[in-house]
Amino acid sequence: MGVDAPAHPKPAAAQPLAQLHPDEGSYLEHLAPGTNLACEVGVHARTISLIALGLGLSACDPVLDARRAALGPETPGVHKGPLHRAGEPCLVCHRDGGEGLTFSVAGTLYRDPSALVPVANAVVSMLDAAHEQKTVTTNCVGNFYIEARRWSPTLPMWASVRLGAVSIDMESAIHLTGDCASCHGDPVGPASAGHVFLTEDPAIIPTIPIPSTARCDDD
Amino acid sequence: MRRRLTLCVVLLVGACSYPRVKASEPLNVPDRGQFNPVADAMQIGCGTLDCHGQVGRNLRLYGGHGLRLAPEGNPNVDPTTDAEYEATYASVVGLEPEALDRVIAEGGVDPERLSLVRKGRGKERHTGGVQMLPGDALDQCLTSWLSGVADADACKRVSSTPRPAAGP
Repeated sequence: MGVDAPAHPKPAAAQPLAQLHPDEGSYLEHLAPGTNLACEVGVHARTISLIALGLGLSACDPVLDARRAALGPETPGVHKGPLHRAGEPCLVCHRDGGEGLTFSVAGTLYRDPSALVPVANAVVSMLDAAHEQKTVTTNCVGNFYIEARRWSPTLPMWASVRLGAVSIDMESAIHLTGDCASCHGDPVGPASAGHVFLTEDPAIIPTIPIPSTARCDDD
Repeated sequence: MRRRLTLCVVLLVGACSYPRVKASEPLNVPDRGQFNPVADAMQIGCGTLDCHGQVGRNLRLYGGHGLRLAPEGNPNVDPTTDAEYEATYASVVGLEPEALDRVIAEGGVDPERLSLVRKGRGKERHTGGVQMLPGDALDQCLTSWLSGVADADACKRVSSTPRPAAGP
């Protein structure tokens, strides 16, 4: 793959733009007599454009960018951190090459299938295909996450949730992503199991403690 | 008049010599009647919502605990419906109809002619990795169906595999 040669060869005396220091005078002063200025600028502009295009292409994933944009802005009053964006697909941003920490598993636990009442201090257990088990505890908005540098499960992986004597197992294995909300999004539909919940037993639901908002602010 | 007659003869000869399009013959497909246990087996390892239980996939698998066909469907409950088995069957046999035709016509010999088998065995790039190895239960289930007699026991072993227990 070649690049077309400029119509007017670059004069030997001309200094590349990038090597000029502000004290060295204007770029025009460094051009050899007879240099076609438009062509010279064009060569540099083309080089810069190609570099910018390359960097842009390597950084762009239109699908992920669209998913990221679809999430919208942060909730007012909630700073970026462990408490933000509860219930959203964490790995859209927290992925390799994304924003912030890279997670291998992340999600939000709610009390029951109907309401978005978070469950704090529940233990989320994961068992991967290598029979390695990892647990993580939910915070006061129900969020939980594992950084990829600490654990990258061998898929498929099985997940369970427990709070005291109440527990539930995920029915199917996780085969592709630890981004819980990518499948467990609301509303429930043909392609979504709805948010992750601890119990659907109407007798147990009222016994699940609701986290204190005040204590949550102290996290 | 003579010139017109010549032109008509030339056109008629040309029309007659044009190759006739053969009426298309139905392609061979594996037996639909034996497919439900195969679908149940594929549902476990292939049809979850994060894999082929997604509407964007060429190989789209429907069923319980996965993608549901009915708009009011819910992955959490209900067994796989007849319509979902039918839709999954259409998805599987529609992937590579000509290659499947040859495999079925030859009694399931060399099933790796199908990307379905190559990908499942990890012989071809597959985001979901290796899901079956030659001779294991899922492989036996799928390839036996392709050969004409589905090994229902092998399929059942896959779909009834218990949830793994954590090690000590």
